[in-house]
Amino acid sequence: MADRVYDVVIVGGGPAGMAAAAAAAQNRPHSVAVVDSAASPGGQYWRQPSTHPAAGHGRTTADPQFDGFVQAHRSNGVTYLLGHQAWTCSRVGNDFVVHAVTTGSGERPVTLRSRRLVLATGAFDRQIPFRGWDLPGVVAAGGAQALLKTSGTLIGRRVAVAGTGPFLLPVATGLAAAGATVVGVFEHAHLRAWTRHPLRAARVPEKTWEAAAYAALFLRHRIPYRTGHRLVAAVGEQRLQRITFSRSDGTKMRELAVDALAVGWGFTPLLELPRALGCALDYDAGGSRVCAVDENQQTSVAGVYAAGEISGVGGSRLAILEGTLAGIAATAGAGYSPELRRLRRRIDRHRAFAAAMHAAHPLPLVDHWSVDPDTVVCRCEEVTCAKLLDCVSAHDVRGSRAAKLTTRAGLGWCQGRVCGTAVDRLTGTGDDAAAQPATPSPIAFPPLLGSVASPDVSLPRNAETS
Amino acid sequence: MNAFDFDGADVPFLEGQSIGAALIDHGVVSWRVTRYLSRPRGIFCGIGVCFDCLLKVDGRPNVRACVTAARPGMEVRSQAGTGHG
Repeated sequence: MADRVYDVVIVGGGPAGMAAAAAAAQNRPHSVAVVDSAASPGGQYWRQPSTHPAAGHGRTTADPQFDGFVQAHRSNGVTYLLGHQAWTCSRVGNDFVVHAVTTGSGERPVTLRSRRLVLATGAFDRQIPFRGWDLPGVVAAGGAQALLKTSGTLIGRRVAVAGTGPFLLPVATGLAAAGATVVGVFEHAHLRAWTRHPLRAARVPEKTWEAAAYAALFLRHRIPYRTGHRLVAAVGEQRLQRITFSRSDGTKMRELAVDALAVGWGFTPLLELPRALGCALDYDAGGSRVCAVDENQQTSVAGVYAAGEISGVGGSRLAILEGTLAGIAATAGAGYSPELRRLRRRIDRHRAFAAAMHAAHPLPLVDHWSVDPDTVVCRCEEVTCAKLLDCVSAHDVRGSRAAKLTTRAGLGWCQGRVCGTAVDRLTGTGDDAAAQPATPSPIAFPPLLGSVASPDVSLPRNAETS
Repeated sequence: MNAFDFDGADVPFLEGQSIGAALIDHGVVSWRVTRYLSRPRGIFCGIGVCFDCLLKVDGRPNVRACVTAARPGMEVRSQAGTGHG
């Protein structure tokens, strides 16, 4: 077993995790370790370009804030376990144990023991099914951006971007700047909702600047931004060849030739680890299931903190603030210093902005989805829309858990992460699921059986200290 | 330039690229056929969450192309069904 006990282990090296590590390590002599599956820190937001300069897109450092965290971690001796995929967490006495496996060639089990745990596992693109969404060439919006940032790889030459939310903007401008022709951004929302909460937006002025910057980029790259439009279908033989879209009321159906489509409906968090520990869940303003936290980012399990997207989807700035608070709370405990009060006030402002954003970019109601009976909903187990709806109508199956047992939807490789939102809504549980107690979750990543059973579970001898 | 073998063809890659990124740069968008409906699949989530982009690497099935770094000379194979047998 793990011989060393860290004061704080942080799972996830994105903005929230890095901020938490910086804040916790500042409180010396606390020992702090960060576990992340990627080969370099930064998470999805500060995704590092591959080392090869020919990968293009020129940036070596993503952001001064990122560089600041790297410096702080180095000078305060934060231990990094990169290339380590955490697959579950458990409690041992008063401590917590993170079970991970090394990624890359050869899977080796590694465990880390700590007094406090900060979960900052982040989020991934929320998806709802539509006709043809499983055709090769249809890629999650975040996936399109990840391919571009790490490898300089364009998902296509003529690309459409669709779904809802502000994240579609950087995806579209990123693809265009890298040389793709972006034939349009199809934003489901009408965006009139923004005018209903202008004050909330105004309280976070940097967001207004961001919006203005994107508007300029859209003009420069001649990207049509079509609000109030819905993607009807992805069409093609063996791969995506064209999309059909219409206005959100179904009128003005049109077709466009494309070789790729980036699609996303906001984000939904990775919750396997908090669920494994029995942390209470909640829904955020956008209807995504998230980890419930108190005013110190502490979950319902004492000693376990959650920060960033997993405690409410709200973007990188909110994630950094929450991570900082979690890092302070996990080491110093949290009192009522003026600094902490300011931090909490800023968090509140950003959460209010996130709530306004979610209200302006809602998921469409099931009745407005562009699905056929034979549209695959669960991509892993290939469960169709008809099969799910038949379960509801013929067998009175309610809720994603019952649907999983009856149809296998959500039982495959991804454990329902991709289809979960859709299955929840198609089987009609929607919001009352939040009231249910969190059930212990399946694992966050399927390790080899040998990694789970291995008696030789110990810390790596050469854990890299950066 | 570095290359790996994909179903008998040389696929070049840049250092640090994932297998999936290299395949897309090479014009390959699908490398798996699903178990029941025999549908083609390639990269979907792109960040290791969805397991759509599974393929075989050096004999091991169910490897995620999107998060697995390409290495020179590795044997990459498209995958049918579960990848076993």
